[in-house]
Amino acid sequence: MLKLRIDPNAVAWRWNGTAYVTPGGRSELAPFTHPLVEQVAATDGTRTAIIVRERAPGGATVSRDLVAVTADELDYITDQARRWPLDYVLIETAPHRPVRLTAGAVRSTPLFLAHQDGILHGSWDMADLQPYAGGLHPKEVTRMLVYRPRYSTDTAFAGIRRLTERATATFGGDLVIRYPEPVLHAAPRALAVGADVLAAFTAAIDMALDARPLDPDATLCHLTGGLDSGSIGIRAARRWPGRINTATLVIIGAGRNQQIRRRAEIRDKVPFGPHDLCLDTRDLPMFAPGCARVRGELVSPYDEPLHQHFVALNRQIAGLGAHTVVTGLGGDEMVAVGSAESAQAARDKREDFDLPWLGPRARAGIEYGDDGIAPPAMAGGITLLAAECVAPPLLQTGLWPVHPFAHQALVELGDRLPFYWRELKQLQRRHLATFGLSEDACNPKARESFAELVEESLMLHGIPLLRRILDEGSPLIEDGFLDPDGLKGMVAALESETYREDTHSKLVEVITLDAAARAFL
Amino acid sequence: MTTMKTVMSERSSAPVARLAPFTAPDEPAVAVDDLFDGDLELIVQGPEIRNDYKKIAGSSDAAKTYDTTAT
Repeated sequence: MLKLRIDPNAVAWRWNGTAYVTPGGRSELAPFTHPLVEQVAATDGTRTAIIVRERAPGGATVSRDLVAVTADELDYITDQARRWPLDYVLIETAPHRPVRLTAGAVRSTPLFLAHQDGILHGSWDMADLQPYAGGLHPKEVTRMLVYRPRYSTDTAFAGIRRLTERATATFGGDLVIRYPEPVLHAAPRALAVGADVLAAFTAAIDMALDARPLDPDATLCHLTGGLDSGSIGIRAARRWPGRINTATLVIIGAGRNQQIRRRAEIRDKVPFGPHDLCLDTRDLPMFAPGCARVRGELVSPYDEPLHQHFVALNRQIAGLGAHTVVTGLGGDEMVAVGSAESAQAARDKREDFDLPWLGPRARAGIEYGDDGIAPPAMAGGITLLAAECVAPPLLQTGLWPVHPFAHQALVELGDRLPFYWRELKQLQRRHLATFGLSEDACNPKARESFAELVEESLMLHGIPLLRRILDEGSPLIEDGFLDPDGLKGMVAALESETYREDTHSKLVEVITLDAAARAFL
Repeated sequence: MTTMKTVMSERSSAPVARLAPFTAPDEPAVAVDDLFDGDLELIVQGPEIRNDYKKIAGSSDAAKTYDTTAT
């Protein structure tokens, strides 16, 4: 939600109409301009607190100018800032003292930090920090290559850190980021007699939707056909009939016709707004020569795997006049089933690091994957990472993301639900059924997935890019994360054997990381 | 904790209004426990739980983003 450049020795702030600046421009703090984002600031003449935050409902328009307060009042202000229920970043400065940044628990958008020559740099867009990327980070690159992501202050690049939820960054010469205490989660519980789970789910969705002053006429819901975006979007449409427009990528493969059919039924039976943006991925394979990643542009390795598709869709959404996008992100995590609860879940989660292209440094790094990771947050680590994945392409188009499933009300309900409500996403299925939707709409029989698009993309454009890695080299090979012989064998297998989704699809990360390494390093 | 009352106890109402933009709003309580029986057990989730990366049975994997078709 902001971009910053802070010299701890230049902290005499003023608001200039678009940013907080200091004399001579040595420091600058630019909040993201959006109706759902605001900023306030106060100073006691020595210390200054600048707070960039998501707007809460019912709040009056606030002044961005620095307010003169007493020292006690400033203590009150920073204490209150840390209690803000939505996303925020609190920046505290004082002359000749390190600058301190504290993030909120709701990380709607990321903040990456780097420093050089005594200056702290930060942005929601990793591309802004490219000058400070110092090489590949062994632990994080390993996590990404083996598809075992962990939420932490590490990024794929040494020198670029992530300010994680509720963490505090202190900078004055060096940068230290301190994790907070763990958020405790409830274990599953038995339901009380007469418990109305579906009513509770609806109430929790409402609480999540009401957490921000959404403008239904400028808010669009993803409606992918999936159970999660469907659960949220349908409730939003019922709350604000005729006003919530929708958008999706249309998949290819066996589930395509079903996706189109189910979405048509949902939109026919539920009072969404008149516009339904559908970007067809047919004839739009990933990694095409003209896409930003392949052209060598600065695209974070964390940004959307289907980057070009979502960039195009986001432009269409913005063109419709929407400024906020509501998603179903986090729905899987809300009803996650643990390995101890289900033998199937245990089999599903069984980790397989038998990837022939892993280099020696990646193989050696696997055992350290959990070192230094963030403690439990309210939202799951995957939800937080996924939110970070979708945010930059949205913000680049002036759109703000809202993920209701990351709200405390839904997370806590999900934590407590008995296994049989979470298993196979019964909660979402039964919720959809309450809207009079058919068996087809609530319980699709064919898989609706991007897996076929990934397969087609790898075969068409992925193989040449993998061959480029082998022919031209890659920082991933130089640093020991990729084994060229193993990769060569896998490319040959791709060209001559039947595609094996479980293994071959993981080559997407090889291509994405290589593209990012070439662009950033 | 520094409260508004502590800071403002000896001041007029004008300073209170001045600090209103900085005051966190009251949040509606999240009352899910009424739905359940038995004792509430709180845990610290391990990495494999809080970074749950579901594969076949519903997934947010970039390569396999789909709901399970099993019901």
